[in-house]
Formats: sequence, structure tokens, C-alpha cells
Amino acid sequence: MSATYRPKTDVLSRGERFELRLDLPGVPEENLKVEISGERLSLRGEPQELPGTLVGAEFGVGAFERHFRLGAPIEADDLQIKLSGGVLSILLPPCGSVLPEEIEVH
Amino acid sequence: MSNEQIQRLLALHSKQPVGTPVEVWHSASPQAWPPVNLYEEEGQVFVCAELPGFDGTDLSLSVEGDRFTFSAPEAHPEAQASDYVHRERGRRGFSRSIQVPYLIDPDLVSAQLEQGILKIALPPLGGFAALQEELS
Repeated sequence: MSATYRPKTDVLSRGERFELRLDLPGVPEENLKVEISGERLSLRGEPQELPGTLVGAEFGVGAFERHFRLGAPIEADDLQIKLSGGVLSILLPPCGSVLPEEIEVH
Repeated sequence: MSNEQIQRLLALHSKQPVGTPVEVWHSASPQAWPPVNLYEEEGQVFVCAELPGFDGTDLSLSVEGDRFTFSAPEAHPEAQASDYVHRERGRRGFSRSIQVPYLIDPDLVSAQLEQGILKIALPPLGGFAALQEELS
């Protein structure tokens, strides 16, 4: 899966924890992958294909991915994930900091 | 690069014309209106708009002649400004009109909002068969 866009993301402070909120319109739960690798949180997925032939486009229709660097390693089981109305919310366990990773320029 | 050139570039990008590479759509500056895609399926035209976080009750839809309009008021902030560590999302009020090359039948327009995507069918008055006959 090659990513074509980066979903817009907010990082909110929730006491000792952080909450991520991402705009993911049209992405069903089964198309969403959340991975933890040490101090790196990765989100990948793809919106559900809309029926019919695309005849005019202003928004991308491909896959997405977004990565975050955390201040400490966490376990995937400690995430509280909710996807509703095209908005994904992830409440992280206390980890010190959350930084969205920048796009690498080649 | 002069100021004037920068302004021209910004104006160009804010319009996001069809044909703009997919890679830059989502990294462009926030738009004042939701982006839409147009789909054709079995002779029907569908407008799909990205509206993450919107409720059906937030939206106003109307049809007049060949024009479909959808709008929503400015939303209450999701969180206090001091809670944001990093911010990219925004939910402004908007009003957007889509013009189609035929008169829309307001009685047959249907709309559904699922997973933050608004999908609207805009059938023509008299049906697509009549429209095709008129064209031929």
C-alpha cells in the first residue's frame, strides 16, 4: 500500500496523557491499521471505495499513513481507540510527549 | 521571488483545480469549504463531500433549479485552545454550491452522511432518459 496523503491531525493534552484526533472521512474500522514499534506509533489505512466512476475529484482517494514519535515506549493494548463520524480518536497512556513526524524530503 | 509572485502562487493553490496531483491536495492550506468528488453510477450523478466530525443535524441542504447547496454553521470548539499541543484540523462554517448542467428534481434528491462522507444523488427533472433524448 503506497500512501497518497497524510490525514490532518490534532494532538491534545489530557492531563498526563495525550489524545490524537485525525480526520479520516470514509475510512471504515476494518481498513485502519494502528501499529506500535517501541516509541513510534504508525497509522495506515485506506478509505472505502465509493461506488461508480469518478468523474471529478478534489479530494484524494488513495491510501494514507501518518507516524508519531512518542517520548517513551508504550503497548498497543494501552491505547483507547474510537472511530466515529470520520474522526479517529486515540487516547495514549502517559508517554511524556508526542511529535508528528515530518515528511522526509528526498 | 517577489511578494506578487508569492501571492499568485497562494491564490493558485487555494483553488485546487481538478488535475492537481493527489499528493498535494491534503498538504495544501485548509480550505474554507469541504472538498467534493463527483461520481457517475448507472446514469446517476452523485456528489460526495468530505465532512469529518459533522452531524446530519449540522447540515442544511437545498436545491434550486440546477444548483445544489449545502452548508453548516461554525462549530463549537472541540477543546480549549490551551489543550492543543499540535493543531492541523479545523471546522469552520461553510456554504458550498454545486451547479449541474440540468434542472434537478428536488423530490428525488437523496442524501446520506456516513463515516464523515456526505453522499447526495442529484437526479434530473424527468429522469436521465429524457435528458439524453434532449441531448441527442
